[in-house]
Amino acid sequence: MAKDTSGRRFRQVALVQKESAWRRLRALGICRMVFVGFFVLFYGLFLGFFVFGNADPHQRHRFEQQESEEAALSLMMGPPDPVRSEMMKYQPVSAEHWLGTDQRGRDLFTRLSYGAWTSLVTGCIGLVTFLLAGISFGVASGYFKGRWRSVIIYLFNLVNTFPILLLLFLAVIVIDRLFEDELSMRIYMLMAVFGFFSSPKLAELIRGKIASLKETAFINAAVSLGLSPVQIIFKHILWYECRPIILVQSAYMMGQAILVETTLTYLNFGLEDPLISWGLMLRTMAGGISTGKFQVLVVMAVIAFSVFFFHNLAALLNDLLASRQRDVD
Amino acid sequence: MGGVRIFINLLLKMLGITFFVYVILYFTPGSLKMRVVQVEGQVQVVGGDGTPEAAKTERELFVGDEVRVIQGKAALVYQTSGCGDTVKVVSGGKFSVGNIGQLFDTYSSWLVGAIKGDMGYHISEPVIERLSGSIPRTLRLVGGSLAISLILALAMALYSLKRGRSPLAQGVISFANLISGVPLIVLSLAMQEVWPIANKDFSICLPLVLAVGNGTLMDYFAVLREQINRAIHQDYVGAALGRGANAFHHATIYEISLGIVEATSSRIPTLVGGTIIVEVMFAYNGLGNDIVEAIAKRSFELIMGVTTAVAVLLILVTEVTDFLRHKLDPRLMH
Repeated sequence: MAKDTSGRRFRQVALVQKESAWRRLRALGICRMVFVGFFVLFYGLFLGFFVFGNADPHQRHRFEQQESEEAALSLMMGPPDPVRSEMMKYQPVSAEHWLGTDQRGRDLFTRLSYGAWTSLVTGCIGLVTFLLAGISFGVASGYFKGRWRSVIIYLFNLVNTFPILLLLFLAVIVIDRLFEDELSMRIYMLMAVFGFFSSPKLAELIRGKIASLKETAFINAAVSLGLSPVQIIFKHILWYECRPIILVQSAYMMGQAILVETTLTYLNFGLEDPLISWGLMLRTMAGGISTGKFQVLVVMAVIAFSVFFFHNLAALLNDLLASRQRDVD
Repeated sequence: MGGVRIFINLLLKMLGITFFVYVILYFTPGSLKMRVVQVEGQVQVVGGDGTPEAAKTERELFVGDEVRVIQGKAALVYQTSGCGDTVKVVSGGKFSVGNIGQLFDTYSSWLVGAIKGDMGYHISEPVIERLSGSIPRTLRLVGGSLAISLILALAMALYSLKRGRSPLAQGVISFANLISGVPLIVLSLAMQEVWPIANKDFSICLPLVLAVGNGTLMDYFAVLREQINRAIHQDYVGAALGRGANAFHHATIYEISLGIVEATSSRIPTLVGGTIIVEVMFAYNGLGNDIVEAIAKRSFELIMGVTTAVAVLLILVTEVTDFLRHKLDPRLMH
């Protein structure tokens, strides 16, 4: 009997939690959620075409040479080759070219899908560096005492007073010299540098959180129980308490990384022509705006949409996690 | 005392930043001038100062010549004695280069030169002359952007507080939010085409693009709305209003000023970063355009000049805003 009552109670609690979760989601705005969902589909479509449709362009070239089987293989070949150009530039939308072609007659949709992959990879490199450096510096300056703490805080202030773009320009000189023969590595290294120089923001948030938690009862209890500092830092502070901060900052950082990659490539400090990125597409197609080519607007919209999505996702996560925290409190 | 403290802080931070940049350039071969330390066989060079007559001049490279190696070990050599003569290796031999001097010696000689107003040459133009033209233009752009952000944000904040639920207020704020979400690079490209329809003059367009695309406008708006809202809901302000005082009582002005100073202090590095993009996109000759050109041409003198100018500007703004914040709210001192 007691078991039944407890089961019912659990069901009731689960129901209430479900209702409050739905209420929370509804309070965050249906439009925002629809936008986020739409973007996931849109980005997934690009990446899906990149992964499944364009796995091996060289292989496809070989298929194309077998003219008799061309029609049969057209479905297997997926979207057109991103580097194969046709005579007619800026072709309109058609069944063959879903978003038309660019100024050299190359398929725009395929190039955008390659660009999505580039932005994802470069964004992830920036994000990983950002998280590694931000968490390490935040924990080092928040949990441990000593002279290093003041040195780290001074360096945070110094980096925060200087524009990151200028620091990245200085990094270009060093990276170009180090990777003289492999300029394609430049953007990856630059994104790592960007992640590193952006990390003080995350580090300061984590430092503040640790400072507020350090004297709380549960941390004192964990220390008294003999838990190691690693266990306290990673499990009790970072995982339980700093997770919302890290999630929100990661989403924001991803948007910033895409933006920085696009900007650097546009300014000629990023990827070069055989490679494909949204910034490079914007740079090469920028002349088409004055002639009213909608393809340029598509590229601009994709970049704006992606950055807007990640910033919106950060805001959504922030609101969601804040409302959850209020419920817990 | 405040002035002395600002000056000392400015000096120390400026020395720190310029030294940091100098160290990067010093340890990156090819950035600084180097000295030829060994020549094997005969190395013929041809070059000059860019004039057709000088381009035909041929001479031999000697140990002790000051050169800058770019694009590989010996593909192109820039000799920077005088007004930036360029020297190109045309035939034979091998040569090796080493640093002109120790790090601190070369840095101190650069610093002394900079204090005296000699920052070297960029191609054949003195860097100091170039900066004296660029700095006012960039300051005008940054100042204009801040002024536009402030005026628009104040108007929006006051209107949204007075008629927050009206469709017009909601629409204006949503539109401003949407436009602010557009990346600066995309907004600049779009404005280049849209703006000339109404007006060929870019003097208002550039600060406006910077204010909106860089997020300064919405930052100011958020800060001002919060500060004004907080100020007018204070008990003593309510009492003063009840007695018929003006809504812009000095307490409200004080709260707004504090908000503006804090927002400016936190936004200025991002604003300067945005200036680089806007200047390059619109081909506006300011510090941003200069730094991009300096990096592309690996012009050490111009890189040092621009970073020094930006560092001074940023540190000065940070120190002055810090000083004003302490003056406006003495509680921050403790």
